[in-house]
Parts: sequence; structure tokens; C-alpha cells
Amino acid sequence: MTAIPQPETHATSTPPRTAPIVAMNDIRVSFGGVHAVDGVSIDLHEGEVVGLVGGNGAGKSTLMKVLSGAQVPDSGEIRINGQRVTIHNPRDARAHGIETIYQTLALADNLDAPSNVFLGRELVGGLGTLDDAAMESATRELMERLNPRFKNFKAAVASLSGGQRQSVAIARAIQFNAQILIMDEPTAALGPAETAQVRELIRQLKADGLGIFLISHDIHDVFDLSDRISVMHQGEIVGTVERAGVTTDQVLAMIILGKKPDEVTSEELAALH
Amino acid sequence: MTGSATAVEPRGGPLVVARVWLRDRPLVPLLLLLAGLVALLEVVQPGIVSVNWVASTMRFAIPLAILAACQTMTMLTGGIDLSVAVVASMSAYVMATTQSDIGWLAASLVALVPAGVVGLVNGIGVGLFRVHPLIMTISMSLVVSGAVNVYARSNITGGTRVPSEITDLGGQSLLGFLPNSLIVFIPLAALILVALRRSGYGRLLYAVGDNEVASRLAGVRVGRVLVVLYLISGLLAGFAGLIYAGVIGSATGRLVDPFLLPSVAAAVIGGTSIFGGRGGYAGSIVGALILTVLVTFLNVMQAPEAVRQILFGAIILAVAATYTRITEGS
Ligand SMILES: Nc1ncnc2c1ncn2[C@@H]1O[C@H](COP(=O)(O)OP(=O)(O)OP(=O)(O)O)[C@@H](O)[C@H]1O
Ligand SMILES: [Mg+2]
Repeated sequence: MTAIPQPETHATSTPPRTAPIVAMNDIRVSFGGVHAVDGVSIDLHEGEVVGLVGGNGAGKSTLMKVLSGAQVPDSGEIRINGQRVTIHNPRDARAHGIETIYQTLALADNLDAPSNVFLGRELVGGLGTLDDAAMESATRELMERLNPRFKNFKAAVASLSGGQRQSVAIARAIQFNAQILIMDEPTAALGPAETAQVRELIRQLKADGLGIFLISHDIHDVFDLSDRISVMHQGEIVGTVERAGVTTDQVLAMIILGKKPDEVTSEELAALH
Repeated sequence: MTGSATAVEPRGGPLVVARVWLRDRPLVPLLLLLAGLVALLEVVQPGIVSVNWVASTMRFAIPLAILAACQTMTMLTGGIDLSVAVVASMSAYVMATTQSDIGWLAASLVALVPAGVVGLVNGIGVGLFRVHPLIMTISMSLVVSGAVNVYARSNITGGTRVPSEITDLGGQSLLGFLPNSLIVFIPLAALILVALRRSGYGRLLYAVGDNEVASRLAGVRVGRVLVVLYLISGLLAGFAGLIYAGVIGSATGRLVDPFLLPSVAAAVIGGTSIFGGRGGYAGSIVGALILTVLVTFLNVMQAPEAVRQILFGAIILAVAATYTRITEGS
């Protein structure tokens, strides 16, 4: 039996997508008896924001820690640009262009903004001494783009506002040419004006072509910024939906009930209100 | 830059202004305290403060300042090295017992080997096995004390003598007022000051003490930083022991033991936070001088040993508490 030669064609019903920059397949993490992440698959494309939502303890942070090297998974596979990779620590993640903005701001409080931006990758000049001037000017250049009102380059970051500190954390991530950005509750500690500022930043980074995983409890943040939304419930992915194809109520139902919109009965939906 | 938070325009009374001014110049109150102590000493015992006295005070303060460097650097990371005194004693003793066979220079180098080994073990314990620095270094102190005892028993024949090269370095002064040990101390102190302020490694010590988790997540090899740190601390402690043997002119297995608490106190008085991330070596050097003058002062008062101990402890507490309030306020 000979196969009929098929013409090579991309004519499919859905528009062709570039290969994902991140593909996590069947990731599992358990702590003792708790299956924090229980067979999760998720992907991310260039210039895309994927919102990751779910109730407290759903496993969002743990899943993202696997990608950022802060948590080694029990099993599962990670591909970056199609290549299978192993990520054992934050340095491995960084080598693959993955940077993380953590839920609890991970800054060294007594150091200034440039020292934090270059933490662990300090610039040195002749004689191996720190080049503080170069680190400061690079930080100024970044902030010009990220947050032009940022002026406190010499103060310990402990004295900065939440939004300014978040700017420093984001500056650190993009200083090293992140291709993939993980943001775990980037606005949780911020006031309304600062939240708006971080949202603007996320839009800009997306426009720059970065792929962003955005964890947030603020459904409006997520709807405002995401292209796709993945909902987690008790360590599993309930579903991944196109933002444009769902309502906030449907996503809320997925978060709370742990079911896809078409599995939810009208009584259950009514009970939510 | 570390600790150089630019002051906000001071508002309020002159007290607030003074506090802000002092906060940005943390050495000023320490130097004033030192000057005050020296003046008081001269009042209590007129004529005591002389060129000779200054030289002798510096000679005693230098080994203490080197031990305080060990505490300063480990405290910056939120750690501490309580093995420095026994390590210093060990090095002094090893040098004094081997110099007759191999000469003073080789004996000094050989004496630094066990100091480095102890530092390395401390570093591996603290950095890689995550043992608390207090537990790790106290335990190592016991191990080292025991080992020195065993060594002393097996070595009765050799006898101990501190060679003249070492006593010249530790106990003599150039032109009668410049301690020879400044020849090694000035470059060493300069190196430590520059390394803490201007090197990537120094910056990492502050970062690790400030927020170890953040440093780790930023990709800092925290374990490696700590292993190197405690190794350096051990070597410096051994070196301090050699210098102190030169100051005293003899060496026993417990020579430097009384310097343990003063080494911590010098760093604390000097403004280094025991919780990590804040401080520097300049303050510790002045702290070592202050403590040395304080000891002279208490000796001059001819109080009984018990009273001196009580006063010494109480004064250290008072200075550390006051100084922290002055320089930390915001
Ligand atoms: N280091 C850990 N040790 C033990 N259990 C853990 C650990 N980290 C997370 N867990 C557990 O794993 C589960 C998932 O936690 P995770 O932090 O990933 O949830 P989350 O979705 O980020 O929640 P939140 O929205 O509250 O941040 C929880 O039950 C949590 O208690
Ligand atoms: Mg979380």
C-alpha cells in the first residue's frame, strides 16, 4: 500500500502559531502527601501573556517555581524553544532567559537599586573592583524606559515605595535579556496608582516580545492583560481559555468550582451570585 | 551603596538634625568616645598618655582588630565566628613549638594551615550543610581546644619559644611610636575595607546577610560565598594569633582565648549588625581601640578583677545600645 503524497500545507482551521517558547508537560510536585502540582501542562508563546489563576493553595506559585528553578519537580518535562531542558536552580533558569518577579519582593533591603538590579552579576572594572557608576547608569537607562519618575538610585531600597521596589525587581529581570518573565502577584503589595503603573509596564514588555506568565488574584488584572487564561484548582489545570472567548463570571466559576464553563450547571452558576 | 542612604532633608529640632548628621557619619561618635576615654584616662592617671603608651595601645589593639575583622565579615552575612580565639591560640602555639626545627617563617606558614582547615570546616558546615554559625563555630572551638591539648601533650620535648622576628613584629615599635605590626596591619585593613566596599564578593556578603533568599534566587552561590568567608576568617584568626604571640612574647595553647568576646564586642560597638547586612570594618577598628583603652582604664582604676569584668560588660552593652540608637534611627 502506497500512501498518497500529501501536499505540504499550513491550511488549518486555526491560524498557525509559532512554536511555544515554553512548554511544560505533565509537571508533578508533591510535599509529603500534598500534591501541590499534579500533572500540569502549560505553554507560552512569544509576546504572549498567559494569566495563571486559581484559589489559595491551588499550586500556581509552585508550578512557576519549577520553571524558575526554585523548586525541582518530581517529574515532568520542560521545553524551551522546543529544546528539552533541565532546570535545577535559578541560575539554570536564567541561562534559558527565564526571570522571575516573586510574590514576596525578593530584594536586598539595605542595598540601593543598582546593587539590587545587578545582584549576583555585579559589573566590575579594572582591578576587579565594582563599577558602581556603570551599574547606576545602566539602571538609570532601564528606569527611563520602565518608570521615568524613578529617581532614588542611591537610597537603600527599604526606603522606596512598593511600586518603586517592584520597578527595581522588574528592572533586574529585564536587565539580563529575559525572554520569559514570571510575575507572581506583581501588584499584590501595591496601591491603585502603582498597580496601574505595573500594568502599563507589563503591556510594554509584551510589546517588546517577552512571553509572560502572570499569576494574579485580581481577575481584572488578568482580563486586562492576558491573551490566554489558565485556571488551576487543587494542583491541576481546570482549563486554558482564550481571554476573548470567556467572561469574568465563567473564569470565576472555573476558579471556584474547578470545572470547565460547559460542565457548570445553571444552578451552580446561580449559586455563585 | 551600602549604608549610604542619602539623608532626607532634616526637619525638626537640632536633635533630629544631629541624629541625621551622625547617621551619615557613623565613625564620628566612635572617635569622640575614643578621645573621651583617652582624656578621662589622663585625668585619672595624669601623665599616662604618652607616645609610648599610644604605641603600646596600638600593639594590643592590632591583633584584636584582626579578630574583629573575622566577626565583622561573618556578622555581615548574619553569621558569627566564635572559633577565632582558639584558632588564634592554636596557630600561635603551633608556631612557637615548631620554629626551633623549621625556622620562624616556615613555622608561621605551617601554623596557618590548621587555621585554614578549621575555617574551611566551619565554612562547609555553615555554607553547605546549613548548620547555624553559632553552633558550628562553638563546636569547632571545642574540637580545636581538645586537639591543641593532645598536641601539647605529645610535644613536651620541643618547648615553646616565640622567635625574635615575631616579637619584633608584634612587640616593637619603629622610632619608638610606630608599632612594627602596622606594616602588616595597614595593608591588611586597607584590603578588607576595599574588598567590603568595592569588590563584588564584598557586595555579596552584604546581600547574603540582608536577604539570603533573594540572593539565592538572584543566582548567588550562597554556599560558596560562605565557605570562602569562613576560610578567610580562620586564616585571619591564625594570623592574629601569630601577631599576638609577638606582642606577649610567649605562646600557650590558650594565649588568645580572652579575646573572644572583645572581638565580637569590637564589631558590635563599631556598628556592624549581628543580624547581617549592615556595618563595616572601619568601625570595628575604632571599636578595637576603644576596648583596648577601656581595659587599660579599668586596670588603672585598680578595681578587683570581678568589678572590672562587670564594668567591661556593662560598658560594652551601653555603648552598643546607644550607638545603635544614634545610627539606626529613621
Ligand atoms: N515548600 C512547601 N512545603 C510544603 N508545602 C508547600 C510548600 N510550598 C507550597 N506548599 C503547598 O502546596 C500547595 C500549593 O501552594 P502554592 O503556593 O503553589 O499555591 P498558590 O496557588 O500559589 O496559592 P496562593 O494564591 O495563596 O499564592 C499548598 O497546599 C501549599 O501549602
Ligand atoms: Mg502563590
